[in-house]
Amino acid sequence: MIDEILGSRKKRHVQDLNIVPILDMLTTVIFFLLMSTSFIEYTKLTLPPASTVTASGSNASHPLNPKLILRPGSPGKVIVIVSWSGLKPDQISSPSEPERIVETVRDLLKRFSVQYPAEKTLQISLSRTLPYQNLISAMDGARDLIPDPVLASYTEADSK
Amino acid sequence: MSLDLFPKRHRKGPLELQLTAMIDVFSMIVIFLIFGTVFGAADIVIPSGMQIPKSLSKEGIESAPRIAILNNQVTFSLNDSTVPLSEFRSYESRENLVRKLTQSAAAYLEKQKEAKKPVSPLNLVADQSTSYQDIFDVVVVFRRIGFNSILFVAMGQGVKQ
Repeated sequence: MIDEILGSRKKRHVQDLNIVPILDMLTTVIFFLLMSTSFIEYTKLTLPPASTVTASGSNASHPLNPKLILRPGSPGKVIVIVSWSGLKPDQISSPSEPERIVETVRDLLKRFSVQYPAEKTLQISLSRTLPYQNLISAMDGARDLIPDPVLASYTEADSK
Repeated sequence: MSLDLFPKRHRKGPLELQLTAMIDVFSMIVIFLIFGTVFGAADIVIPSGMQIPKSLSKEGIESAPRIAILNNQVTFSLNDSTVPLSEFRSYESRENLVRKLTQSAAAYLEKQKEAKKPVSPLNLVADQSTSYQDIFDVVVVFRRIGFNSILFVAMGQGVKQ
């Protein structure tokens, strides 16, 4: 009765901040940020001063336009040829079954790179009638030594 | 003085799983996964009946326009045009073709330039028995148009057709 007359004051309810989901979210964000961060290491390159050199005999003997040529051989065989021009023009070749072109190309190019280890260019040419699969196999065989060969016209292969 | 001989046992409430925290974490993971996903960037449709060559290469395919050589026809994906292979043979027809296809590829190549991409790749899809002459003649035309990186699409050796 007295309470009704005086009117009891209602206690204020203090709202708690729910920190747990916020912490969860932040942990996840930090985790993803750490995962996607790439740490860059700065390096310094010192270039030697420019100078002029005259081409010597060893430079001049490098091969010119090394070519990998595939031509049809005896029935069921393909002839694989690696040829180059320059001061010491030469060629190495080997007959191959179509299924073994990768190994044959690899073997010939290894022999070539022993002679010219610095050479990184190669033109690939096939006879016009040879199938696309032979081109892919030749590129597979050359990839280890020369990653970006250039296609040359079929006239190159057919004219030899 | 009161003797508390029998202290009251606190009743253990039933174990409740805090779903809120779990839902928060999973929502974040889902959002990050959605943002990090690239849909259909590198997919290639191989025409039915075509057997693409096999390769030892482990490189993945790239997102790029596609040309397909099938049944003496060349299909270019940028404008869905089909051109007979015979048009790639002679010098005159090749020049006409270069002019025609340059117009359709111009917008795409311009975008590549704006994005400052050094190479404009093009996926070439052809049957493994297609002759080298066909492949080379088509490659020559598309290189002249401005596609400076031709990617030959092949199947990994371990994959069954």
